[in-house]
Amino acid sequence: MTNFEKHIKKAAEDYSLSDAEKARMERVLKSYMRFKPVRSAHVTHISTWSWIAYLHRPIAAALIFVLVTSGGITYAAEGALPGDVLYAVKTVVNEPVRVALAADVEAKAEVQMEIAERRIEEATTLAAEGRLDDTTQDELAASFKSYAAAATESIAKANTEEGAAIELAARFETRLVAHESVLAEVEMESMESDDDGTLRSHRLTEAVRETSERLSEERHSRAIALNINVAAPMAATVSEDVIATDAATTMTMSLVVDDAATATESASAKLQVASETTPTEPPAPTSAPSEKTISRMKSAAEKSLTKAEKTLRGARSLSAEARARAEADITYAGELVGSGKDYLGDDLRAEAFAAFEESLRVSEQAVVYIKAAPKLEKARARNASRNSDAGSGSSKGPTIEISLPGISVNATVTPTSTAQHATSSTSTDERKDDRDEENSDGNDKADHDDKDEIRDESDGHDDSGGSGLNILQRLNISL
Amino acid sequence: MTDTRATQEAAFLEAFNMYSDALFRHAAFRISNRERALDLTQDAYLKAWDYLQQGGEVREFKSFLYRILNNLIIDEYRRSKSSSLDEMLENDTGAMEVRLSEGSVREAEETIDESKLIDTIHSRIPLLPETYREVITLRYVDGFSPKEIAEMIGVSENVVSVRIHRGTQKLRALCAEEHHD
Repeated sequence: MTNFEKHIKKAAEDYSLSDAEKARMERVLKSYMRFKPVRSAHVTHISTWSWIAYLHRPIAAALIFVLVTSGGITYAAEGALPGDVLYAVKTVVNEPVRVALAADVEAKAEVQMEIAERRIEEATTLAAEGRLDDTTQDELAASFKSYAAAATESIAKANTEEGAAIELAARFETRLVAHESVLAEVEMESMESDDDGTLRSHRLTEAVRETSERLSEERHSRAIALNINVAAPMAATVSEDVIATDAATTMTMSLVVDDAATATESASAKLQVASETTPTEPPAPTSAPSEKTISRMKSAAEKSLTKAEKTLRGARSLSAEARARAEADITYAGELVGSGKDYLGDDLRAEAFAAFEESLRVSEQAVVYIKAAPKLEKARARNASRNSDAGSGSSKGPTIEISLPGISVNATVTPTSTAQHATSSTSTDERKDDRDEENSDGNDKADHDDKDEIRDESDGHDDSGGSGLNILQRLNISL
Repeated sequence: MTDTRATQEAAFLEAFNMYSDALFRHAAFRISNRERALDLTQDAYLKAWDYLQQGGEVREFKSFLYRILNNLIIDEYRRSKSSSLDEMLENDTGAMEVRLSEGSVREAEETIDESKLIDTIHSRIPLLPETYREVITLRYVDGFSPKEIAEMIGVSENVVSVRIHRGTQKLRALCAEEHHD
């Protein structure tokens, strides 16, 4: 061995396992061995998690206690993805145990919602890495369906009077729509040029969409029971903005449009109602939700806002653009809470409720997007590098912007802010420029006028002076 | 029956105690990422246990574990770098090596003090194509013979020797380049 080769060895010796690391690894390993013992392999192979349903809560608690203390395996499994060794532990042990441990029906709904969302997140992560195949997608879709159905059922059981059901449904629906649009965007980014344009995750996406529709119905029926004028379904707002954003993606968004057709109708109907009822002439107090319902929505909105702020603070490796967007969302959500309180002070209860609900949505959405931002970056980077491999701009994949109802949507519509989206990689820049050109060439004039209007509005919002008015306008739409 | 099982478990835990440090070092050096190396080492053992649990037999734990870990590292590498620096470097014509005369490399080696060279190796190893990193790590860090490496990664002994030789040259050149900058 020459001197240089000895140095290679020495360089590697800089890495060594600490005693603690080794001990932890051994603990995980030992509990894994206990979990999958050699001898009775064929007997204990767990194909279903229904066994957990037969356990009473104290026993489930004891079980999780044993699992947790006997090694970090359940903890280690939490981040596992389909295909990872520990993924089975996560889905077969951790998740059912968490559901079983939920104290009441609301907590149960929360856990089920979260697990259902995880399936979409996992699909997104895999898609961002280009590893989402059909089999995995089907498995994820199946698991999503079962948890989403369970969550919807739990929500249906939740208390109507106190507004629990409506809050849970609004939250779940908002997050699902956000997750779905992230997944769609990641997929668009990672689409090969020879693909036929069908999203690989279409089965999962369909399941997600069905669930959000069901939730929207649930929310409406609860709202009627509570005498509340509700916001239009999320799908409507999203699809409208997306269409305005990018004509090139009409193909992929057509699904949303179909689904949203009825929703758009109801939204415009409400718009009419809203224009008849100006904010200065509040609806009769008899049709307003109870104080209890409002205060629940208020605290939910505040809680979500805090969560969004915390998520943003904890988010490392967020691009400047994504951070700015999240900050704008959070500011907007904060303003909504503020105006909700003002309305409450003036006893405009319906408006207050709507403001709190809108704030809740904006915050929940922000959380989803903040968490998803790194995945999106990853997909973009992959896409960029692939394009540069394939040669200069030969594969021009369609892109869409994330469009959320609320201020940040409008920001994505303006050409100036599209430029901000450009990442450092040149091929992405090229692609975006191409698309901008297409937009300006291909769209008719009416479309442009629309955009200008939207931009004016968002500009108004950016100066904090005009924001109060803006919120008012927005609320009119959703009332 | 119980005996076999107990023996198997004992053998497996023994394999953990004996090889986990070396496997971790191997992984960390290959991917230049301590945290991921911890995960991969753990995964290698879990996968090995899966194999045993499903009735597989293992004659030689050491090379078995190395083989699993090697596959995990390759997966990891593919996952993190889809457009490969590999290819870029693979396609170079060796101009760099030519440019840096043998003399200057020698000189670099003698003048750089030891710790500096080690730092340089750390910073340059991610630039070395994965094909070379694999054999060099197995050869010089883990001390396997070219024959053992050949069996492990499924190529001929000759190919292994060539890769070791070329890889060492390349790494030297990469290290020397920084010195000249």
